[in-house]
Amino acid sequence: MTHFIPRYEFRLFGLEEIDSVIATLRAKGIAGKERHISEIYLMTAGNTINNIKIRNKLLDIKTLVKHDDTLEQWNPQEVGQFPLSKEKILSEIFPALGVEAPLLDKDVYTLKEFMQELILVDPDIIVALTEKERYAYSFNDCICEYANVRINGALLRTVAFESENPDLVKAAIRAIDIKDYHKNTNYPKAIKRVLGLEIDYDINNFF
Amino acid sequence: MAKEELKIGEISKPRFEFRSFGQDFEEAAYLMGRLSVPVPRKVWERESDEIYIVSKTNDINNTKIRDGKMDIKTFVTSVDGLEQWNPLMKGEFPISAKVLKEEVFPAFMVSTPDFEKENYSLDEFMEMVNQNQELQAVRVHKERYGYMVNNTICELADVLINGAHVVSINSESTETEDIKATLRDLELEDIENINYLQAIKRIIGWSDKTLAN
Repeated sequence: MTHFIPRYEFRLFGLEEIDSVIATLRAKGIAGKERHISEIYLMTAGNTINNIKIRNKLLDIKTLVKHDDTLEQWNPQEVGQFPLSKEKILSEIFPALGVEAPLLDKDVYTLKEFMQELILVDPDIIVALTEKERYAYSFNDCICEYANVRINGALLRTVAFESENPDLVKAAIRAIDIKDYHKNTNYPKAIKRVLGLEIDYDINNFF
Repeated sequence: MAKEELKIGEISKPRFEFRSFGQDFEEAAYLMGRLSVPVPRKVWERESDEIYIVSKTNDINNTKIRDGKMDIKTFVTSVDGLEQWNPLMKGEFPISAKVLKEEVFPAFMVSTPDFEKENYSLDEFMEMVNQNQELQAVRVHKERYGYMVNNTICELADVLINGAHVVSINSESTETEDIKATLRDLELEDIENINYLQAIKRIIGWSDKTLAN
Protein backbone atom coordinates (compact mmCIF):
# COMPACT_ATOMS: atom_id res chain seq x y z
CA MET A 1 0.00 0.00 0.00
CA THR A 2 1.26 3.45 -0.88
CA HIS A 3 2.24 5.50 2.14
CA PHE A 4 1.23 9.16 2.21
CA ILE A 5 2.22 11.91 4.59
CA PRO A 6 -0.89 13.84 5.64
CA ARG A 7 -0.78 17.47 4.52
CA TYR A 8 -2.24 20.56 6.12
CA GLU A 9 -4.52 22.48 3.80
CA PHE A 10 -6.18 25.86 3.49
CA ARG A 11 -8.68 26.10 0.62
CA LEU A 12 -11.19 28.69 -0.51
CA PHE A 13 -14.12 28.42 -2.90
CA GLY A 14 -16.00 31.26 -4.52
CA LEU A 15 -16.23 33.41 -7.62
CA GLU A 16 -15.28 37.11 -7.67
CA GLU A 17 -14.74 37.10 -3.91
CA ILE A 18 -11.56 35.02 -4.26
CA ASP A 19 -10.23 36.74 -7.39
CA SER A 20 -7.80 38.88 -5.39
CA VAL A 21 -6.32 35.79 -3.70
CA ILE A 22 -5.87 34.04 -7.05
CA ALA A 23 -4.32 37.17 -8.57
CA THR A 24 -1.84 37.44 -5.69
CA LEU A 25 -0.91 33.75 -5.97
CA ARG A 26 -0.33 34.17 -9.71
CA ALA A 27 1.78 37.26 -9.13
CA LYS A 28 3.90 35.92 -6.24
CA GLY A 29 4.00 32.17 -6.91
CA ILE A 30 6.00 30.06 -9.35
CA ALA A 31 3.74 28.53 -11.98
CA GLY A 32 3.77 24.77 -12.45
CA LYS A 33 1.69 22.29 -14.41
CA GLU A 34 -1.79 22.83 -15.79
CA ARG A 35 -4.06 19.81 -15.60
CA HIS A 36 -7.61 19.05 -16.70
CA ILE A 37 -9.22 16.38 -14.56
CA SER A 38 -12.64 14.70 -14.40
CA GLU A 39 -13.69 13.20 -11.10
CA ILE A 40 -16.77 11.66 -9.52
CA TYR A 41 -17.46 12.67 -5.91
CA LEU A 42 -19.75 10.47 -3.83
CA MET A 43 -21.64 12.61 -1.35
CA THR A 44 -23.95 11.89 1.57
CA ALA A 45 -25.56 14.30 4.01
CA GLY A 46 -24.14 12.61 7.10
CA ASN A 47 -20.50 12.28 6.08
CA THR A 48 -18.36 15.26 7.02
CA ILE A 49 -14.91 13.71 7.41
CA ASN A 50 -14.35 11.59 4.32
CA ASN A 51 -13.67 12.97 0.86
CA ILE A 52 -14.56 10.10 -1.49
CA LYS A 53 -13.77 10.43 -5.17
CA ILE A 54 -13.06 8.42 -8.29
CA ARG A 55 -10.53 9.52 -10.91
CA ASN A 56 -9.48 7.35 -13.84
CA LYS A 57 -11.26 4.36 -12.21
CA LEU A 58 -9.20 4.83 -9.03
CA LEU A 59 -11.21 5.37 -5.87
CA ASP A 60 -9.53 7.24 -3.05
CA ILE A 61 -10.71 8.46 0.30
CA LYS A 62 -9.16 11.41 2.09
CA THR A 63 -10.00 11.51 5.75
CA LEU A 64 -9.98 14.60 7.91
CA VAL A 65 -7.37 13.91 10.58
CA LYS A 66 -7.55 17.14 12.53
CA HIS A 67 -8.42 20.78 12.20
CA ASP A 68 -7.90 24.00 14.07
CA ASP A 69 -9.41 27.42 13.46
CA THR A 70 -7.30 27.90 10.32
CA LEU A 71 -6.13 24.62 8.78
CA GLU A 72 -7.29 21.09 8.14
CA GLN A 73 -5.09 18.01 7.91
CA TRP A 74 -6.22 15.33 5.46
CA ASN A 75 -4.91 11.79 5.14
CA PRO A 76 -5.25 10.29 1.65
CA GLN A 77 -5.81 6.59 1.19
CA GLU A 78 -6.06 4.76 -2.11
CA VAL A 79 -8.87 2.23 -1.87
CA GLY A 80 -7.99 0.82 -5.27
CA GLN A 81 -8.65 0.62 -8.97
CA PHE A 82 -11.92 -0.68 -10.36
CA PRO A 83 -12.94 -3.48 -10.61
CA LEU A 84 -13.16 -3.56 -6.79
CA SER A 85 -13.98 -6.51 -4.58
CA LYS A 86 -17.19 -6.84 -2.62
CA GLU A 87 -15.09 -6.91 0.58
CA LYS A 88 -13.46 -3.54 -0.16
CA ILE A 89 -16.79 -1.98 -1.04
CA LEU A 90 -18.37 -3.25 2.16
CA SER A 91 -15.46 -2.64 4.52
CA GLU A 92 -14.11 0.67 3.20
CA ILE A 93 -16.44 2.56 0.88
CA PHE A 94 -19.87 2.28 2.50
CA PRO A 95 -18.52 2.88 6.03
CA ALA A 96 -16.84 6.03 4.71
CA LEU A 97 -20.09 7.16 3.07
CA GLY A 98 -21.88 6.62 6.37
CA VAL A 99 -24.89 4.90 4.82
CA GLU A 100 -26.06 1.33 5.05
CA ALA A 101 -24.64 -0.94 2.36
CA PRO A 102 -27.09 -2.79 0.13
CA LEU A 103 -26.90 -6.53 -0.46
CA LEU A 104 -24.07 -7.17 -2.89
CA ASP A 105 -24.68 -10.09 -5.21
CA LYS A 106 -21.36 -9.94 -7.07
CA ASP A 107 -17.85 -10.71 -5.82
CA VAL A 108 -16.30 -7.97 -7.95
CA TYR A 109 -17.75 -4.70 -9.31
CA THR A 110 -16.62 -2.75 -12.34
CA LEU A 111 -16.95 1.03 -12.07
CA LYS A 112 -20.08 0.93 -14.23
CA GLU A 113 -21.67 -1.81 -12.08
CA PHE A 114 -20.67 -0.01 -8.89
CA MET A 115 -22.24 3.25 -10.08
CA GLN A 116 -25.38 1.76 -11.63
CA GLU A 117 -26.17 -0.96 -9.11
CA LEU A 118 -24.96 0.50 -5.82
CA ILE A 119 -24.66 4.27 -6.04
CA LEU A 120 -27.18 5.81 -8.42
CA VAL A 121 -30.03 3.71 -6.98
CA ASP A 122 -29.33 4.81 -3.40
CA PRO A 123 -31.41 7.89 -2.52
CA ASP A 124 -28.99 8.78 0.29
CA ILE A 125 -26.00 9.11 -2.05
CA ILE A 126 -25.70 12.07 -4.41
CA VAL A 127 -23.17 12.05 -7.23
CA ALA A 128 -21.24 15.18 -8.16
CA LEU A 129 -19.45 15.09 -11.49
CA THR A 130 -16.59 17.55 -11.42
CA GLU A 131 -14.45 18.96 -14.19
CA LYS A 132 -11.37 20.75 -12.91
CA GLU A 133 -8.93 23.03 -14.71
CA ARG A 134 -6.09 23.09 -12.19
CA TYR A 135 -3.16 25.51 -12.25
CA ALA A 136 -0.34 24.45 -9.94
CA TYR A 137 1.90 26.97 -8.17
CA SER A 138 4.66 26.90 -5.63
CA PHE A 139 4.69 29.64 -3.02
CA ASN A 140 6.42 29.91 0.34
CA ASP A 141 7.49 26.25 0.05
CA CYS A 142 3.83 25.26 -0.14
CA ILE A 143 2.08 23.30 -2.86
CA CYS A 144 -0.55 25.68 -4.17
CA GLU A 145 -3.15 25.80 -6.89
CA TYR A 146 -6.07 27.68 -8.22
CA ALA A 147 -8.71 25.94 -10.28
CA ASN A 148 -11.93 26.41 -12.19
CA VAL A 149 -14.23 23.66 -11.02
CA ARG A 150 -17.52 22.66 -12.59
CA ILE A 151 -19.75 20.83 -10.13
CA ASN A 152 -22.49 19.08 -12.10
CA GLY A 153 -21.91 21.80 -14.69
CA ALA A 154 -22.01 24.83 -12.37
CA LEU A 155 -18.81 26.82 -11.96
CA LEU A 156 -16.86 27.72 -8.84
CA ARG A 157 -13.26 28.76 -8.44
CA THR A 158 -10.96 27.45 -5.77
CA VAL A 159 -7.52 28.34 -4.46
CA ALA A 160 -5.49 26.19 -2.06
CA PHE A 161 -2.27 26.12 -0.05
CA GLU A 162 -0.87 22.80 1.23
CA SER A 163 2.15 21.53 3.09
CA GLU A 164 3.16 18.88 5.57
CA ASN A 165 4.27 21.78 7.75
CA PRO A 166 1.31 23.80 9.08
CA ASP A 167 3.49 26.83 9.86
CA LEU A 168 4.41 27.15 6.18
CA VAL A 169 0.74 27.15 5.18
CA LYS A 170 -0.09 29.76 7.81
CA ALA A 171 2.80 31.93 6.65
CA ALA A 172 1.68 31.57 3.02
CA ILE A 173 -1.89 32.65 3.68
CA ARG A 174 -0.65 35.60 5.78
CA ALA A 175 1.42 36.70 2.79
CA ILE A 176 -1.41 36.28 0.28
CA ASP A 177 -4.06 38.80 1.29
CA ILE A 178 -6.47 36.35 2.90
CA LYS A 179 -9.37 38.30 4.45
CA ASP A 180 -11.36 37.45 7.56
CA TYR A 181 -14.36 36.50 5.43
CA HIS A 182 -12.27 33.93 3.54
CA LYS A 183 -13.08 30.74 5.44
CA ASN A 184 -11.20 27.48 4.95
CA THR A 185 -13.58 25.30 2.96
CA ASN A 186 -12.76 21.79 1.86
CA TYR A 187 -14.04 20.11 -1.33
CA PRO A 188 -16.80 18.02 0.31
CA LYS A 189 -18.15 21.08 2.12
CA ALA A 190 -18.17 23.21 -1.04
CA ILE A 191 -19.83 20.46 -3.08
CA LYS A 192 -22.41 19.87 -0.36
CA ARG A 193 -23.35 23.55 -0.44
CA VAL A 194 -23.95 23.41 -4.19
CA LEU A 195 -25.91 20.18 -3.89
CA GLY A 196 -27.90 21.55 -0.94
CA LEU A 197 -26.94 18.55 1.18
CA GLU A 198 -26.65 20.65 4.29
CA ILE A 199 -29.78 22.36 5.58
CA ASP A 200 -29.22 25.97 4.64
CA TYR A 201 -30.32 27.85 7.76
CA ASP A 202 -29.21 31.15 6.22
CA ILE A 203 -31.62 30.79 3.32
CA ASN A 204 -34.36 32.60 5.27
CA ASN A 205 -32.16 35.69 5.21
CA PHE A 206 -31.39 35.31 1.50
CA PHE A 207 -33.59 38.18 0.35
CA MET B 1 -55.39 35.04 -36.79
CA ALA B 2 -53.21 38.08 -36.24
CA LYS B 3 -50.10 37.54 -34.18
CA GLU B 4 -49.95 39.19 -30.79
CA GLU B 5 -47.39 41.97 -30.52
CA LEU B 6 -45.27 40.96 -27.52
CA LYS B 7 -44.13 43.60 -25.08
CA ILE B 8 -41.38 42.83 -22.62
CA GLY B 9 -42.46 43.05 -19.00
CA GLU B 10 -46.19 43.01 -19.84
CA ILE B 11 -48.75 40.23 -19.44
CA SER B 12 -49.66 38.26 -22.58
CA LYS B 13 -51.49 35.02 -23.24
CA PRO B 14 -49.47 31.91 -22.20
CA ARG B 15 -46.07 31.82 -23.87
CA PHE B 16 -43.98 29.00 -25.20
CA GLU B 17 -40.38 28.96 -24.09
CA PHE B 18 -37.00 27.73 -25.09
CA ARG B 19 -34.36 27.96 -22.38
CA SER B 20 -31.05 26.33 -21.85
CA PHE B 21 -28.27 26.29 -19.28
CA GLY B 22 -24.52 25.81 -19.60
CA GLN B 23 -21.24 27.67 -19.37
CA ASP B 24 -20.73 28.97 -22.89
CA PHE B 25 -23.34 30.71 -25.02
CA GLU B 26 -20.96 33.43 -26.17
CA GLU B 27 -21.73 33.15 -29.90
CA ALA B 28 -25.51 33.06 -29.36
CA ALA B 29 -25.25 35.98 -26.95
CA TYR B 30 -23.33 37.99 -29.54
CA LEU B 31 -25.97 37.24 -32.19
CA MET B 32 -28.77 38.05 -29.75
CA GLY B 33 -27.26 41.45 -29.05
CA ARG B 34 -26.78 42.22 -32.77
CA LEU B 35 -30.23 41.02 -33.88
CA SER B 36 -32.25 42.54 -31.05
CA VAL B 37 -34.48 45.54 -31.55
CA PRO B 38 -34.10 48.22 -28.86
CA VAL B 39 -35.84 47.15 -25.65
CA PRO B 40 -37.20 49.25 -22.76
CA ARG B 41 -34.51 50.43 -20.36
CA LYS B 42 -36.22 48.65 -17.45
CA VAL B 43 -35.33 45.24 -18.95
CA TRP B 44 -31.74 46.02 -19.94
CA GLU B 45 -30.47 44.58 -16.69
CA ARG B 46 -32.47 43.04 -13.88
CA GLU B 47 -31.17 41.42 -10.72
CA SER B 48 -33.13 39.21 -8.35
CA ASP B 49 -32.77 36.72 -5.51
CA GLU B 50 -35.16 33.81 -5.51
CA ILE B 51 -35.65 30.55 -3.66
CA TYR B 52 -36.81 27.60 -5.73
CA ILE B 53 -38.46 24.71 -3.94
CA VAL B 54 -37.74 21.50 -5.82
CA SER B 55 -39.47 18.22 -5.18
CA LYS B 56 -38.08 14.77 -5.91
CA THR B 57 -41.51 13.58 -6.98
CA ASN B 58 -42.51 16.43 -9.28
CA ASP B 59 -41.30 17.76 -12.62
CA ILE B 60 -44.40 19.63 -13.73
CA ASN B 61 -44.82 22.37 -11.13
CA ASN B 62 -42.19 25.05 -10.74
CA THR B 63 -42.28 26.82 -7.37
CA LYS B 64 -40.30 29.91 -6.53
CA ILE B 65 -40.33 32.60 -3.89
CA ARG B 66 -39.28 36.16 -4.65
CA ASP B 67 -39.76 39.25 -2.49
CA GLY B 68 -41.85 37.26 0.00
CA LYS B 69 -44.24 36.05 -2.70
CA MET B 70 -44.73 32.49 -3.84
CA ASP B 71 -45.34 31.74 -7.49
CA ILE B 72 -46.14 28.28 -8.85
CA LYS B 73 -46.21 27.62 -12.58
CA THR B 74 -47.42 24.39 -14.06
CA PHE B 75 -46.33 22.66 -17.25
CA VAL B 76 -49.12 22.71 -19.85
CA THR B 77 -47.76 21.28 -23.07
CA SER B 78 -44.75 20.89 -25.30
CA VAL B 79 -44.88 21.76 -29.01
CA ASP B 80 -41.86 21.02 -31.18
CA GLY B 81 -39.73 20.88 -28.03
CA LEU B 82 -40.93 24.27 -26.80
CA GLU B 83 -42.60 24.29 -23.40
CA GLN B 84 -45.68 26.16 -22.27
CA TRP B 85 -46.10 26.90 -18.56
CA ASN B 86 -49.13 28.58 -16.96
CA PRO B 87 -49.46 30.24 -13.56
CA LEU B 88 -50.99 27.79 -11.07
CA MET B 89 -51.03 29.94 -7.94
CA LYS B 90 -49.61 33.14 -6.56
CA GLY B 91 -49.52 33.90 -2.86
CA GLU B 92 -47.89 36.19 -0.38
CA PHE B 93 -46.43 35.28 3.01
CA PRO B 94 -47.87 34.80 5.53
CA ILE B 95 -49.77 32.08 3.67
CA SER B 96 -52.82 30.34 5.11
CA ALA B 97 -52.71 26.67 6.09
CA LYS B 98 -55.67 26.18 3.73
CA VAL B 99 -53.67 27.37 0.71
CA LEU B 100 -50.62 25.32 1.76
CA LYS B 101 -52.79 22.24 2.22
CA GLU B 102 -54.95 22.59 -0.89
CA GLU B 103 -52.59 24.17 -3.40
CA VAL B 104 -48.92 24.31 -2.43
CA PHE B 105 -48.17 20.83 -1.06
CA PRO B 106 -50.31 19.12 -3.73
CA ALA B 107 -48.18 20.98 -6.30
CA PHE B 108 -45.04 19.49 -4.70
CA MET B 109 -46.68 16.04 -4.96
CA VAL B 110 -45.47 15.06 -1.50
CA SER B 111 -47.46 14.09 1.57
CA THR B 112 -49.11 17.03 3.28
CA PRO B 113 -47.83 17.79 6.79
CA ASP B 114 -50.09 18.52 9.75
CA PHE B 115 -50.86 22.20 10.11
CA GLU B 116 -51.18 23.53 13.64
CA LYS B 117 -51.52 27.20 12.78
CA GLU B 118 -53.84 29.22 10.59
CA ASN B 119 -51.08 31.15 8.83
CA TYR B 120 -47.41 30.49 8.11
CA SER B 121 -44.60 32.99 7.70
CA LEU B 122 -41.81 32.43 5.16
CA ASP B 123 -39.50 31.20 7.95
CA GLU B 124 -42.11 28.74 9.18
CA PHE B 125 -42.78 27.52 5.65
CA MET B 126 -39.04 27.04 5.04
CA GLU B 127 -38.84 24.98 8.22
CA MET B 128 -41.52 22.67 6.81
CA VAL B 129 -39.52 22.38 3.59
CA ASN B 130 -36.33 21.59 5.52
CA GLN B 131 -38.15 18.86 7.47
CA ASN B 132 -39.31 17.12 4.30
CA GLN B 133 -36.70 14.84 2.70
CA GLU B 134 -38.50 14.98 -0.66
CA LEU B 135 -38.15 18.78 -0.87
CA GLN B 136 -35.19 21.09 -1.14
CA ALA B 137 -34.88 24.86 -1.08
CA VAL B 138 -32.33 26.19 -3.56
CA ARG B 139 -30.88 29.71 -3.64
CA VAL B 140 -30.95 31.30 -7.07
CA HIS B 141 -29.43 34.68 -7.86
CA LYS B 142 -30.15 36.04 -11.34
CA GLU B 143 -28.62 38.83 -13.37
CA ARG B 144 -30.78 39.02 -16.48
CA TYR B 145 -30.14 40.98 -19.67
CA GLY B 146 -33.21 41.50 -21.88
CA TYR B 147 -33.41 41.51 -25.69
CA MET B 148 -36.05 41.07 -28.36
CA VAL B 149 -35.38 39.05 -31.49
CA ASN B 150 -38.01 38.11 -34.11
CA ASN B 151 -40.70 39.47 -31.79
CA THR B 152 -39.69 36.96 -29.11
CA ILE B 153 -38.66 38.01 -25.64
CA CYS B 154 -35.08 36.92 -25.12
CA GLU B 155 -32.66 37.02 -22.26
CA LEU B 156 -29.17 36.09 -21.37
CA ALA B 157 -28.58 35.54 -17.67
CA ASP B 158 -25.77 34.92 -15.23
CA VAL B 159 -27.31 32.63 -12.65
CA LEU B 160 -25.89 31.46 -9.34
CA ILE B 161 -27.45 28.23 -8.14
CA ASN B 162 -26.49 27.64 -4.51
CA GLY B 163 -23.60 30.00 -5.25
CA ALA B 164 -22.24 28.26 -8.36
CA HIS B 165 -22.36 30.00 -11.74
CA VAL B 166 -24.19 28.96 -14.90
CA VAL B 167 -25.29 30.89 -17.96
CA SER B 168 -28.88 30.73 -19.17
CA ILE B 169 -30.24 31.82 -22.54
CA ASN B 170 -33.87 31.92 -23.61
CA SER B 171 -36.45 32.94 -26.16
CA GLU B 172 -40.16 33.04 -25.40
CA SER B 173 -43.28 33.98 -27.28
CA THR B 174 -46.89 33.09 -27.80
CA GLU B 175 -45.85 32.07 -31.34
CA THR B 176 -43.76 28.89 -31.66
CA GLU B 177 -42.67 29.77 -35.21
CA ASP B 178 -41.10 33.00 -33.99
CA ILE B 179 -39.10 31.09 -31.34
CA LYS B 180 -37.96 28.54 -33.92
CA ALA B 181 -36.81 31.34 -36.23
CA THR B 182 -34.93 32.87 -33.30
CA LEU B 183 -33.22 29.58 -32.45
CA ARG B 184 -32.12 29.33 -36.09
CA ASP B 185 -30.83 32.89 -36.08
CA LEU B 186 -29.00 32.43 -32.77
CA GLU B 187 -27.59 29.05 -33.90
CA LEU B 188 -29.21 27.33 -30.93
CA GLU B 189 -31.17 24.71 -32.86
CA ASP B 190 -29.11 21.77 -31.61
CA ILE B 191 -29.11 22.91 -28.00
CA GLU B 192 -31.32 21.07 -25.50
CA ASN B 193 -34.30 22.92 -24.03
CA ILE B 194 -33.65 22.84 -20.26
CA ASN B 195 -36.05 24.66 -17.95
CA TYR B 196 -35.11 26.08 -14.54
CA LEU B 197 -36.51 23.11 -12.65
CA GLN B 198 -34.47 20.63 -14.69
CA ALA B 199 -31.30 22.73 -14.57
CA ILE B 200 -31.51 22.97 -10.78
CA LYS B 201 -32.13 19.23 -10.42
CA ARG B 202 -29.13 18.45 -12.63
CA ILE B 203 -26.86 20.74 -10.62
CA ILE B 204 -27.94 19.46 -7.22
CA GLY B 205 -27.45 15.87 -8.39
CA TRP B 206 -31.11 14.85 -8.53
CA SER B 207 -30.79 13.98 -12.22
CA ASP B 208 -27.98 12.18 -14.02
CA LYS B 209 -28.29 14.45 -17.07
CA THR B 210 -25.80 17.20 -17.77
CA LEU B 211 -26.26 20.84 -18.75
CA ALA B 212 -26.04 21.89 -22.41
CA ASN B 213 -22.30 22.62 -22.32
